[in-house]
Amino acid sequence: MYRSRTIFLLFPLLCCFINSRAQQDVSNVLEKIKGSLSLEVLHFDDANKIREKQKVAFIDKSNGSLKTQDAEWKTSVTALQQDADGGLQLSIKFKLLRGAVNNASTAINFNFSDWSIKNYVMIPAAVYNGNRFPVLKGGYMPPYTSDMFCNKNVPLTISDNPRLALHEGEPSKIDLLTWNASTPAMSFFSPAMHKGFIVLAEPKTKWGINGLSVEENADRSKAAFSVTAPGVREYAAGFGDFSKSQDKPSNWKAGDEIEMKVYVYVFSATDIPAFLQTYMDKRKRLLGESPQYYVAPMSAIFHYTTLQVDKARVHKPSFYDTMYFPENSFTRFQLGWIGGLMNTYPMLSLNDAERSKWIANTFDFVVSKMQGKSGFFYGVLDNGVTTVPERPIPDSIKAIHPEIVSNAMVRKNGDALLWMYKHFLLYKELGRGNEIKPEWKAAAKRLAQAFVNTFEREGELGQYVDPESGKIVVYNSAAISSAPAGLVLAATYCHEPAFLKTAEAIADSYYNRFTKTLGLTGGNCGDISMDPDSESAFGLLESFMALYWATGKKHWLELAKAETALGSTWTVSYNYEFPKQSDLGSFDAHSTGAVWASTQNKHAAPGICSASGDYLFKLYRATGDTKVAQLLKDIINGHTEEVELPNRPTVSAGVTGSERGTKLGCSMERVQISDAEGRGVIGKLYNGSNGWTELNGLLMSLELPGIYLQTDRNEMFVFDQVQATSVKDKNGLILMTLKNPTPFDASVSVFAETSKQAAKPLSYTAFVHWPKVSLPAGKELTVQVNKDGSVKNIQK
Amino acid sequence: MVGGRVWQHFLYFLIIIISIERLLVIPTKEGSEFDTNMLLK
Repeated sequence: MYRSRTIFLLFPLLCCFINSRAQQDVSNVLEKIKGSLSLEVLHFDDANKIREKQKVAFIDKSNGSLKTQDAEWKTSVTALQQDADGGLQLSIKFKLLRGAVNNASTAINFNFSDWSIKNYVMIPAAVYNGNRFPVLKGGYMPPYTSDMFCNKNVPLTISDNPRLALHEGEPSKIDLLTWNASTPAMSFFSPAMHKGFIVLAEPKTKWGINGLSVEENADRSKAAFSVTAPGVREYAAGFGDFSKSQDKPSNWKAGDEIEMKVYVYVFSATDIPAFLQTYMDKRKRLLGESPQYYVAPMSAIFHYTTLQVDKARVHKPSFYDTMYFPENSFTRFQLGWIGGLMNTYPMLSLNDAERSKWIANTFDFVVSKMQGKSGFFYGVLDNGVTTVPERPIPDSIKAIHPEIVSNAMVRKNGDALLWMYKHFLLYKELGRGNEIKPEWKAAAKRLAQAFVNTFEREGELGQYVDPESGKIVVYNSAAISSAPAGLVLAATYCHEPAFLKTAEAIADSYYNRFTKTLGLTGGNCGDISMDPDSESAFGLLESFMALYWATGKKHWLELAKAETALGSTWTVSYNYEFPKQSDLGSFDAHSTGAVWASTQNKHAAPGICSASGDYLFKLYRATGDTKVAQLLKDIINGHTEEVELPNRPTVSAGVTGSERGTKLGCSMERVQISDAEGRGVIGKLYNGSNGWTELNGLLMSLELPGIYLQTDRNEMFVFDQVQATSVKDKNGLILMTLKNPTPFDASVSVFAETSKQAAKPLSYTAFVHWPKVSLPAGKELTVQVNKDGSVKNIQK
Repeated sequence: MVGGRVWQHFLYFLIIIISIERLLVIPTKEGSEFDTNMLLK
């Protein structure tokens, strides 16, 4: 009693102490990186240009004041919490005491002297390395200029995105709202100081969405990172272009007050990979983990998506036998990337005769019609005969390089290589290795050899290659991402150590050139320029984990950790509040775990294009890092949210009439949390389905365990949307109680092993052997997990 | 004068058609074949 009274009496004193120290604390934090805090009131003209900036004067360590003829502002800075590592959570308040102020916004500025354009500036999913690269104008997927073809020195060139200036004398400012980023955050790494800075913000205040801006001064000796409320941009970024923004500054009257919480962290970092890993550790520090929702188990996603694939992706075209198509067109076939010769893989796992015939037809089609003389494949084929150059080659280039016939994405070839061998491994695991035709194996090996030949000749693999001559048509970018993984599988399958050696050389080279040096990977999507993208980051991660699988070298785990951190920057870390009238708002969708594809295409999507993310599971299993597992779980959840299921219309949410709710198993690529396509498109879905997002769900349900358990350690992670607890009984047996809170019956895969077994890299087809627990909707069940990983039902 | 007005109307018509066409094309990884169909709700 006495103690509690003392605490009660001391509390106000403690608050005052915390308050008075706030400014000092934040100054202490920021001065480590030559930074300081300032507060401002910004005044805008009718065109959203800043007309005037008024700086708040600090009265003491916490409070500030701004007095003008017409208005009086009061501010306060309060330290809410300081972590042991120095991370500081602040509450910053602006209050208008007197007067009325129209067309205004308030700004928290983190000002840095000793600035350098060599600093790596990162705003997750929007800005990498300041986006300080040459730019192509022309909107969505702009044409490449002729000087970008057959040019070994082509600079990394991006679409027209928000960016810091490349040239002296240009104004250098990035203006975004928090909805333009996967996490409301800004950050930079200073290679000179070996320090990093991260500021996390809240998405909005009562005035609307908050702003995030970075501005450099004329001689680039100073920079300011500002969180503003409300965010007011002059121009809003679209898909490779800009339009006048519809942001509205706020009108204040006396008594109006807002509070903004921010988290500020300054830390030591040896290099960009270390910086990115700290970012991954901290990205949820302000807004916290999102709650777990129980929409549907993975098995339900697999079931309904399979119905959709059976209905919409199998077709007998006029030009070939019945086969699998990856998208909504039955005249065009795209290899890799969005699912060509990939969506056959989960179908193969179903192990039935009819689907097997269609899969074989698809293989025959690709192998007989899409491979060029060099061994590389064409990425697009129309009507079974017309190969489509993915980047039209200018006549001037054709005249200089008559040997170049066409071009195809290197990324699609990397995917083709990886997935052909993944199919072969699965065929074998299913005891059907005899169905792998010699011509498929020959084609895959020729493709592997083409990668080796080109890398040995050029020292890189470029973004586009000519499938006939094997020459690189467009250099640069990290479009090879999944190719080393394909080479690893080829090396193992064909017993060709040279493939593995080249895979290691490629993986190391691209990691150093892109992830480590530039802090980005890109050029991996078929509809962007060389923009930073998530698909190359996750593709490289696939390759690093493949190399770990084949070699057991811990080196690859270290690279995988850095690549995972880069991948985390692309993944939405919080639940954006969709407008209630929007499609996503109408069924209360949760955005956490949606994955941005690229900086050009400014939206998130359900899942990684196109993968289960099993490499994240493998990395978690190898390191025990639950942050990696949680990232994967977020991605699973983010995908599940979007799938149309019985009594849960998603893609058809905007439809009225009998069609509503009938698109079972459909999902589509938009999780639009920003105004990049116009304010009216926020939260909009389209009444259809993308083959690649369907494929993501199928692969996640197939290749990831619902529950992972290490039997000799207190280690369990639940990936599926079920609940599980485990205890050891007096005989040392593990009893696991599962509960299915979803409205769908579940078949939950359980992967149990010892920590010794976990030290061995996981095979690509391990999932075939995971036992499954049937768990009806709403029911609870206890099972016994045996030491050999098998599961026995003991109670219903 | 009358001819000018016809041209003006034609121009407006063209602008409207182009605007509607732009609205119908939503960039996705699958290109426009997906998009126009998707909007026919």
